[in-house]
Amino acid sequence: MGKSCQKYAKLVSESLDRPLNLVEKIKLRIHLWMCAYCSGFLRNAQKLRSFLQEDQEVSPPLPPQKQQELKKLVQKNIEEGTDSNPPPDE
Amino acid sequence: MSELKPEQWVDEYGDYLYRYAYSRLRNAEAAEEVLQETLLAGLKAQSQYEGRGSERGWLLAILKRKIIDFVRARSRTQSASQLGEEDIEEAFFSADGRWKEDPRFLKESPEKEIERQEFWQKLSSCLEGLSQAQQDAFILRELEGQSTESICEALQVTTTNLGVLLYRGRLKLARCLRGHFFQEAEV
Ligand SMILES: [Zn+2]
Repeated sequence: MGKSCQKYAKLVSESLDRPLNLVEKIKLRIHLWMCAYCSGFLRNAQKLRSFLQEDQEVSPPLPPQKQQELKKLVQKNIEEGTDSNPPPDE
Repeated sequence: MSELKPEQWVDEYGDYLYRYAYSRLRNAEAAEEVLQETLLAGLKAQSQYEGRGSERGWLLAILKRKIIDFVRARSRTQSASQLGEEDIEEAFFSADGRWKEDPRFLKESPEKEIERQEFWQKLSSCLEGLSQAQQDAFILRELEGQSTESICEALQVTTTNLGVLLYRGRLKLARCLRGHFFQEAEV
């Protein structure tokens, strides 16, 4: 493993967030070709990204009490005719 | 042309939207808060619904904006967004810049239901090891797929600092997930 891994690991991370320039691209490609750790770091980060974007976490459900509360709130707003109010400036 | 049926929103989509918000904000109160704001904003903006796309998709788009708003507001109340500690880099790299530890943690993506659930659980506890700013940056980038520009704006950090947040966050996650998961075969 090379001495410059710390530098390239940062570049690996950046390559996931911005387009690298040509020099960076070439240097990184050469390094990754020689370095199993840095290329593994990149592959893992890419796999993690695609997994996170495709899969859905099993999160806890909306608590029933909050659900009832929200239903009442929505109902109250409908009855008061919120729609006729001017839209809020967001 | 479809119409909105707000009286059914909570029953139909409440759970879906809540879970979505929860997985991004990782906090029950925060998820409840953005869900409530989403419903209220949806009610007020009904006239802007053009009938294109599903009702759920329309509400989800509002929720996504509310999630960013929430993160933005939260990051304002925190003392200057810390970049997170240097020591994660020291843990991985020797003084001359070589890897001290193998950063690889994943051989294959988890596919079986049980593996996927286990993976999310592990990831969730690993995320807690990140600073709030690192967590927000990672989640907005990798789960929400937000652009770096909008994340910088929300977290009030420069592009360079966002790069550091994401880099250190990714290193920490690699370290935390490693050994618990799908270790890569020796090379
Ligand atoms: Zn390397």
